[in-house]
Amino acid sequence: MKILTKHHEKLAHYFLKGDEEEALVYIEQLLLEYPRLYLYEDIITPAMYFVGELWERNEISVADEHLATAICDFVLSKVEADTLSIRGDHQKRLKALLFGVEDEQHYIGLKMVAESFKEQGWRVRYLGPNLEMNHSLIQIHHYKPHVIGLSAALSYRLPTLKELVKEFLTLEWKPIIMIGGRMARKFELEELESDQVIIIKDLNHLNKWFNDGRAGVVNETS
Amino acid sequence: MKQADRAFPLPYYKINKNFTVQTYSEEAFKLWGNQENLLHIIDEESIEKVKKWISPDIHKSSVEAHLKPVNGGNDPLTADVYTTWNNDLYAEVILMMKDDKLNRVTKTLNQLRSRLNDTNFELLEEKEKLEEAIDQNNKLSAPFIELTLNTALIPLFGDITSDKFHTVEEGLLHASQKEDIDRLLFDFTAVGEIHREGIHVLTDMMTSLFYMGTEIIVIGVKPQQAKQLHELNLPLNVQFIHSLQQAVAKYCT
Repeated sequence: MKILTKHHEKLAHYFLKGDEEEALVYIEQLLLEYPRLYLYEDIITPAMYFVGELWERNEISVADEHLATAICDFVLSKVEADTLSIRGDHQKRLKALLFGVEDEQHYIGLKMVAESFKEQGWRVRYLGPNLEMNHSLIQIHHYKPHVIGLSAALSYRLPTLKELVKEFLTLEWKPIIMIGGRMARKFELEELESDQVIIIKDLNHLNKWFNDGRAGVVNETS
Repeated sequence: MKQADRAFPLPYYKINKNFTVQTYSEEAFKLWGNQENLLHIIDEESIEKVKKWISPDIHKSSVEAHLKPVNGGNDPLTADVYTTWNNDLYAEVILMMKDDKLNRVTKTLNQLRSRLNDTNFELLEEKEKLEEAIDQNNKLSAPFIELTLNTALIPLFGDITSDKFHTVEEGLLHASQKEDIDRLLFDFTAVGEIHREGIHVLTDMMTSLFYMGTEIIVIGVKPQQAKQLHELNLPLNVQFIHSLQQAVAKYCT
């Protein structure tokens, strides 16, 4: 496991206390010191994993976890709203559509992924968690994204995930399909991987994909 | 061996230290059927937690755990698991399923969140539509009208902003390259406000046109605008004419 810095434990503490005011002030201070990617990947993500750990240690309940998630969601939304977005000519023509598979209620990671795409100047549709398959297909056909990002945390979603990937591989404009979420870390999903399907382990991995210019393989004019 | 030995109102198991089920209640049978081992009904992500907290070392414990979905459901169930060890060999385990009310609240919250997200999403779509409309509007703000073989009129509409002129620039440069056009009349009559960045883009464009050998005439400048244009040092090679009428009389006869 990663070395735990104090920051994330403190943040987890604010999340669990339900103290959105303090959590926000704390995050804003951290933002002065650290880049956003670091904040997402090395502070907020570990803070949420730490919450999970406390549950395993029988110190908190599921209800506490829900509260922490809600506060974390609020803080992320606030940070997002305060960030100047890339608009107009500077915005790329690249489009990404992101959602959590049906029944999946975990979405904090996906939200941070949406922000990472926006930071790179992409146009982003973030459809939230628990999206029904037909609904996602309608949106995808309408929006024609270059990247479709799927997220799942629990192993029970694997059949749905496979079905979705199979369906998306038949799209004629051949979007890149990214699979993320805790499932991408925990389970061997290599069998799904191909030129068109990428497993994204974490935000650093996603950022590496941006930096490698892999996004360049996406045809901007399509 | 095992059997539903009592009409207990809750799911109940008696297990040994290997979690092997000795007896169970009818309620437990209704949910998970006949199970050999208690761990079989525990969600895989909770197994470590259960192993840690249900052990003869801890005489009495209460722990929250996720259980495997039942009745074809897709989501693990949450329960409080109460355990007491009679001795080192056997333990009584009672499962208290989480209250339906809690689940309902969770569900309602999820619905509210997804509704907020939908609204957010609709707003985003509207915003995109609006941006497209503005872009479209910008494109139509500087039409290229050929008056004679070598003279064209470009009436400008609305405020002069950099966004607008970035949008029309390419089309105008392209159109003015056409065959014999060597004189362009920019009509300011319908111009509202002049933004500083906007006029920079416009003068850059005029300079480009000038280098392409086009004569540039600006028409219909209002007094307030004249002051602004003066402050901005327009390229000197631009001519000014008071009204379109005069310009047409001069160049189109």
